[in-house]
Amino acid sequence: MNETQQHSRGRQASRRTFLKTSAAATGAAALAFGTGKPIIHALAADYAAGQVPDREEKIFQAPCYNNCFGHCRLNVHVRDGKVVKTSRAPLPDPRYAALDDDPTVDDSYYRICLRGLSHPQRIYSPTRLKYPMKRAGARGENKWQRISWEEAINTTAEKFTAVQRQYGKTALGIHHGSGNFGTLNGSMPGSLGLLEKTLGATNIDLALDAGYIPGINRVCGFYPGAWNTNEIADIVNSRNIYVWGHNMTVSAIHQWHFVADAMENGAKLTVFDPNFTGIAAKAHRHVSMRPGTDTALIMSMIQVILAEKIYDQDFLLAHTCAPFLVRESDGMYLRMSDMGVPAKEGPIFIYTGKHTVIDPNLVWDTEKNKAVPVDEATAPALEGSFEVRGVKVRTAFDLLRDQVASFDPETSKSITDVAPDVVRAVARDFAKIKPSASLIGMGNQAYDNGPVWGHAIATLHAVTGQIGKSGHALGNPWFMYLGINFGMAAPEAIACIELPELLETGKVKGKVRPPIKALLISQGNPITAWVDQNYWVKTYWPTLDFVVVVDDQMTDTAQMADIVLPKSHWFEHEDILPLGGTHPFIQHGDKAIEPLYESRPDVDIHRLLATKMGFGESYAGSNEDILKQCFETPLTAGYGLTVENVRKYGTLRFQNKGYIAWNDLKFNTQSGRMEFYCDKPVDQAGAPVAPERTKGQRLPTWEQPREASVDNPLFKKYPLVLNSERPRFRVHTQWFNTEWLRELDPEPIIRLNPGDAAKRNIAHGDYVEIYNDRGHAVAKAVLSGGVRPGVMVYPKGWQRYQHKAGSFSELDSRAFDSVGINQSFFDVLAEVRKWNGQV
Amino acid sequence: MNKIEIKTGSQKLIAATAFLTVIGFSLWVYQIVRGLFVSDMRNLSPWGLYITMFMFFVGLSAGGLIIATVPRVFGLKGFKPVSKIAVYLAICCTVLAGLFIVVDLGRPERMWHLLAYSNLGSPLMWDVLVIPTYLIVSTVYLWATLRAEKGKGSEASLKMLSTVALITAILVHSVTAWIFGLQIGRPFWHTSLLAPMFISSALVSGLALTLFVVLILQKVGYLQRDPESKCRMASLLGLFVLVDLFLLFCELITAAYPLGGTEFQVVKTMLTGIFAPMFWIEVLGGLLAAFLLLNTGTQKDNRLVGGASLLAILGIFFKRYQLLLGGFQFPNLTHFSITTGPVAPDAGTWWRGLQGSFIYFPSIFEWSLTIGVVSMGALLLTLGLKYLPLKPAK
Amino acid sequence: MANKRLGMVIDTKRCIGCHTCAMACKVENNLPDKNWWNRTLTVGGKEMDTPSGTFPNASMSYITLACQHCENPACTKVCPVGATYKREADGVVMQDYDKCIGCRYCMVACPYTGVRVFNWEKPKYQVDFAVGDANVTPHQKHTVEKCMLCTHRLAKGLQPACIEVCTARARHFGDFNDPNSKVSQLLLKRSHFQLLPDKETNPTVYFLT
Ligand SMILES: Nc1nc2c(c(=O)[nH]1)N[C@H]1C(S)=C(S)[C@@H](COP(=O)(O)OP(=O)(O)OC[C@H]3O[C@@H](n4cnc5c(=O)[nH]c(N)nc54)[C@H](O)[C@@H]3O)O[C@H]1N2
Ligand SMILES: Nc1nc2c(c(=O)[nH]1)N[C@H]1C(S)=C(S)[C@@H](COP(=O)(O)OP(=O)(O)OC[C@H]3O[C@@H](n4cnc5c(=O)[nH]c(N)nc54)[C@H](O)[C@@H]3O)O[C@H]1N2
Ligand code: SF4
Ligand code: SF4
Ligand code: SF4
Ligand code: SF4
Ligand code: SF4
Ligand SMILES: [Mo]
Repeated sequence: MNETQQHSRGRQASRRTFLKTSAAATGAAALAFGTGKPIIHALAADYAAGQVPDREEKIFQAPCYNNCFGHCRLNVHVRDGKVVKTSRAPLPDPRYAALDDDPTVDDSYYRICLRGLSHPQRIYSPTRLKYPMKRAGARGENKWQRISWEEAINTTAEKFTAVQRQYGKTALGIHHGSGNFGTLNGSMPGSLGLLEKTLGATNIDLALDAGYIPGINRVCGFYPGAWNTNEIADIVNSRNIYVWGHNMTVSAIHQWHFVADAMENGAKLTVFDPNFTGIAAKAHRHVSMRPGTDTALIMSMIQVILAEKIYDQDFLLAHTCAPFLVRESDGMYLRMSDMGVPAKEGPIFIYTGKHTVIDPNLVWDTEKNKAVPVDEATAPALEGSFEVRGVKVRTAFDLLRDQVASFDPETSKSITDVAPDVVRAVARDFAKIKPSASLIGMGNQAYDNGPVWGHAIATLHAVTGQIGKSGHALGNPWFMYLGINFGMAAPEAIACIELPELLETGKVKGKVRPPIKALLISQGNPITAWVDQNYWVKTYWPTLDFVVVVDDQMTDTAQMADIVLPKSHWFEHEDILPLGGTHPFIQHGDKAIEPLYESRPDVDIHRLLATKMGFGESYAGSNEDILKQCFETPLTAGYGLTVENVRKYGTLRFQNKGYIAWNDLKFNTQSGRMEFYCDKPVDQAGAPVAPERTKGQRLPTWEQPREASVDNPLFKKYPLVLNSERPRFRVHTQWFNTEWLRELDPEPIIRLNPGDAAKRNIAHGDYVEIYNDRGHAVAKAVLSGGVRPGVMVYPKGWQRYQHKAGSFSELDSRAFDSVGINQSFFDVLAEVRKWNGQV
Repeated sequence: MNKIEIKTGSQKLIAATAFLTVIGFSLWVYQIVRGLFVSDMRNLSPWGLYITMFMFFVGLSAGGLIIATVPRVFGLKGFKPVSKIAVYLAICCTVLAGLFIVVDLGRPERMWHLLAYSNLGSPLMWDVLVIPTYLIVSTVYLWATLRAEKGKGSEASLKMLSTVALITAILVHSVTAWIFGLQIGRPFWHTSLLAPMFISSALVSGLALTLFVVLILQKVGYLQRDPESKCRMASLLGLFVLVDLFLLFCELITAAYPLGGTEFQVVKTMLTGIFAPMFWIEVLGGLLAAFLLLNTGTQKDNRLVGGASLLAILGIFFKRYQLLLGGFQFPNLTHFSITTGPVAPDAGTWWRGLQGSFIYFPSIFEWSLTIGVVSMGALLLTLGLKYLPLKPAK
Repeated sequence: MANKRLGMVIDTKRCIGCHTCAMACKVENNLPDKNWWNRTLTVGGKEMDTPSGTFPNASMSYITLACQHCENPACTKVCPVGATYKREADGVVMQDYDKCIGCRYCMVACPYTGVRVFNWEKPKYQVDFAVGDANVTPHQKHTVEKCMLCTHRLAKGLQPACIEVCTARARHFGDFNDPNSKVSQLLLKRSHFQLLPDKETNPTVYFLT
């Protein structure tokens, strides 16, 4: 046992005493293995309850770092130096209980899943990358030659420096996916962010899961990670839960038992999803709509609520922009700066570090019968047209009512295909039943009209006042984190889907910048994850001089690299997970075993590369120093979160227990209110929306999806909307070749509606080819009464070699909405036919 | 055929069957080493061709003995000239039945556990006791018959022995039937009619095999032609076939009449579903055989009678195979789940279409090993005919 | 002390068919490749995670199936060598790999499709060392195996491996002979069913509806 294990064993002993488990197995019966005596081997070992060490088994604790947002805390059982199993660890860690104001053991956040249980097979996978390799054939030919770490780092440093010298520093692109959210070895702004900053590289942003952000931020204001919503444990207090575009029982399994508790307390569950999914099977009501048309459905709900006057008038008047006056001429708000009172600089906004602007909006005071700043109004008018100093103005509420007027349930049916009585029922329930909650997945934002959808759902909450109290939810606690050091970041970032524009025009959104000529990829599998795989493989990759991928399996992306570096597994290095995902805890991760083969933690790779490229000083410190530098910020200090504390207590809450979002009803908008009318809408990057689109982005506005719509001429040729769904047996592509999981999920499938299949005489179990102008993929047909006619659904994440031909990632389009700047994975039309056997 | 031809013929036969037996044995050893995976048996179809052959040969064995002992027990006009051959045939079939159990066992080296830890509540345990008893009784009976021909031993002791043999034979079928018939978990099997049906099927297959062997032996000159007893045997066989079909009919009409439930589904599968080919060969073949055997005209033509006997035997084999397969083709829990372990050979997942495909079909390995085992039976028979005084006493 | 009747109560209103309990069983007991003692079954269409019915009138639920540790097991009766037997003290139906002669009659007798699995060849493993609990009995070729209610964990006073991991908090384990146990209480409060009651095995696993 080498030094580090000795060290961790020592610490392990101290932790163990704290965990009050009996020191050693007492009275273990003779374990008569295979002595031929035909009796079952009695095992008597009396331990305290819970996961307890066995024989000479040691238990370490670490989070499962990937981004299914479960971030479960796992016991990592090590026996004879091998990880033999994982199990559910207490979360919060019992040691934390001493700090928590309520030390009773609450196990509602204890969690694990089938993937987390399969870690032993990932750690000891026979196909795990063991040593650095360089390409010995063409890119994608998957021919490799082993090289030393020294040669790998030297070549990489040399190539990267050459590219930066020839094209400029930002010609080096660094892309990280969502594979590991750790600080030292993951993609959260930590050691990798430090490397990007040190090398002056360009961060190639994932540009996904963000479609709704511009929309939601208009109404609620900027919030890191988009959704600021109640702690999931609070959902048990909800009476009426709406789930939007969210395959919860697969994509957020640890949320479900809270929702189930709520339902046992009498809450009503309604699921909005074109398809009949697992969560829909649990719901009281399933509302199926034509894909990509939810915005029209929500506008129709708002129309009903306004028409039947069942909106929350008090909330509208007190906490939203409803009474704000808007100039009929240019649609801008009437603010005090228009009345000669100059805007003032407000306090610094902690999340952006910039000063806020104080420029109060004007409302019409019906008692004073004149326009006054909102804070001075005693009886603000909700509706009406007025004139202020010759300027014609109307209340924002009026404009909203006009905007939704034409979306009565009968008319909107032609867009959404949802029956009018259903629209009225769900509208009335959401207005009348309090508290109501919206738990939201990524389905709706996966079309180009994601931003307007975010705007619409937030407006629905504003109109009904369903926010800020226990039992509410607007969003889903995907990214409940504050431990992010935004300072650790690249000087420049570009969305991955803007790379084609840069390649073709040398500009991004009209701004000239150096081309991307070299790529370092880690914690990501873009060749599978990004849209339009054929474009990247055939057009974009050849323009790159040098590509390095850091991973532990030969993924689609690793096969396209010039050098592949083996990274160590999550339990082979210490780290801190600075976010909670779907629970409010930041976690410390033990190092359970030494890195296998020649694999190394990412932070060590960063240090080697930075040093070789002449920037050794930024990585001069130990990993501990880098951890402190990246993790300890004014923000985390405010919560008492230090590296020392997190390591000492294992898990620390970064939100007070029972966190209620927006409970002070102070929103991060300029006015501090929910601004469903946004006179200066901005895009994903915070830049003002292009003038010609501004008018269409001020209020929730119905926009057809770009491709996946019946009005698209392409619909005749490709009449089926192609959606993906989260795979139970993978997280994206991770675990793709873990045998235990492959026994449950052996091959790629495509779910077809039986009617659609019959039209193409496709039978259950046939191999079929899904195709459009961008590419094709072959999979086994599964006929399912859960799939809406006109839709096809495939579990995502298969690697190319696992398909008989093609790949699902060839089929989606890299076109994107200029406001959302987001990959629209579901905005896809395709056709399906029996496969003729051609590859 | 003259003596020389018989001699060289039997030598060739012995050589061939011995060779195939050695092949069979080596396949069995390979199966033990490589694993029963080489068969098509999987977790949803834990038994297969071997157990089918076990049932089939238990049936074949008892048939011969019953024909030999019934006339003696009830003082009827027997088939004296062939009774010794019938008994010896029964012995060979019993040996084969036992061999097929052994070949099917996962851990044959632990067979002593059957004695050391026997669970007397298990129908399989009953069979493990009854079959050796039956083998001993029929051997003693043959031995006694031979001694009686040499004047030793009395007719009374022979009569007593044949009664014991008859009872054991009936017991062997009932117990073998109960292995399946008592299983409430397998609706296809769980019928009280199974034991009587096993006995009637045994009579059909046993007599048919005896008749066929006798015809062959007469053809090769081992036995004199005896048209009268042949016709009587043919008629008796025809009768047994009809009785057997009648019992089958009772089973089907009882299951089908409610026009619903799992039993009705099973009947539909037999009439029109995937079992239909085997079922109709069994029924129509049986009727044809019965006609050929009972019709005074056709029963004279040896080739027709021989053909009818084979048809009857084939029908009974299909009946056994359908019974076994039927127990697994209709799982009680049909909710879809992942593989329950290697459910089907890796070749594909054709088991998924339960309606349209069999859950089990014997692999080539199983057929080859079965041929090997049956060859051993043929070897035993040929050696017996060659070296034992089975010809009718002068 | 009085005999226990250990078994499970599984809430089908909560179960989301996530296979976590199936995987926990597989790892804990170091099951050979392709063997599953606990499986998640979709009650619905022709394939996993597909509902019955035609869109949009569809319905889907899940049950998890392992040995039911029946009060009147169909399996122990037929085993010719008593290699599978029901323990007096707690009702667990056991498998003795050393005694088993691999005749598979117990698999034929058990009405619960796929509960008993046979090692049709030498057990193969992806990982070249035993995972799971150190005290699990090594698997043997050509013998039958099945859930034994994690006897090695019961001996340590722990619940079976597949209980605490349930993501939906749908799995409950306890002694049905103890009226105050959680499982007994649940049966009083909630409507429930047993699988294949007409097979007279009286399983010790109940499904809440
Ligand atoms: N097991 C597992 N869990 C995961 C992941 C994984 O890879 N594996 N990935 C994680 C990540 S990174 C993410 S972003 C989340 C995503 O979590 P989810 O968004 O829940 O993931 P999806 O399965 O894509 O679910 C999208 C749902 O939206 C529905 N949908 C499609 N079009 C529309 C529409 O127009 N309107 C409405 N209302 N619904 C629509 C689809 O039918 C589908 O049910 O999952 C996380 N959890
Ligand atoms: N068609 C379609 N495509 C989609 C989606 C969809 O719904 N449909 N969803 C999209 C969404 S929401 C997301 S979040 C993306 C996710 O896409 P990615 O973020 O690319 O996620 P993964 O496929 O899990 O790839 C993660 C890779 O990181 C590696 N990795 C894990 N840990 C480490 C580590 O510690 N160090 C290093 N260096 N590498 C590590 C893993 O081995 C794996 O190869 O997929 C997107 N792609
Ligand atoms: S894969 Fe996700 S849900 Fe499963 S153990 Fe890891 S973090 Fe938890
Ligand atoms: S479920 Fe099957 S194996 Fe388990 S006790 Fe009952 S009959 Fe026996
Ligand atoms: S396979 Fe083993 S446990 Fe099953 S009945 Fe035969 S001997 Fe008993
Ligand atoms: S009790 Fe143990 S052996 Fe039985 S299914 Fe659960 S984990 Fe598997
Ligand atoms: S772990 Fe729980 S929810 Fe998942 S399949 Fe098992 S019983 Fe169902
Ligand atoms: Mo994501």
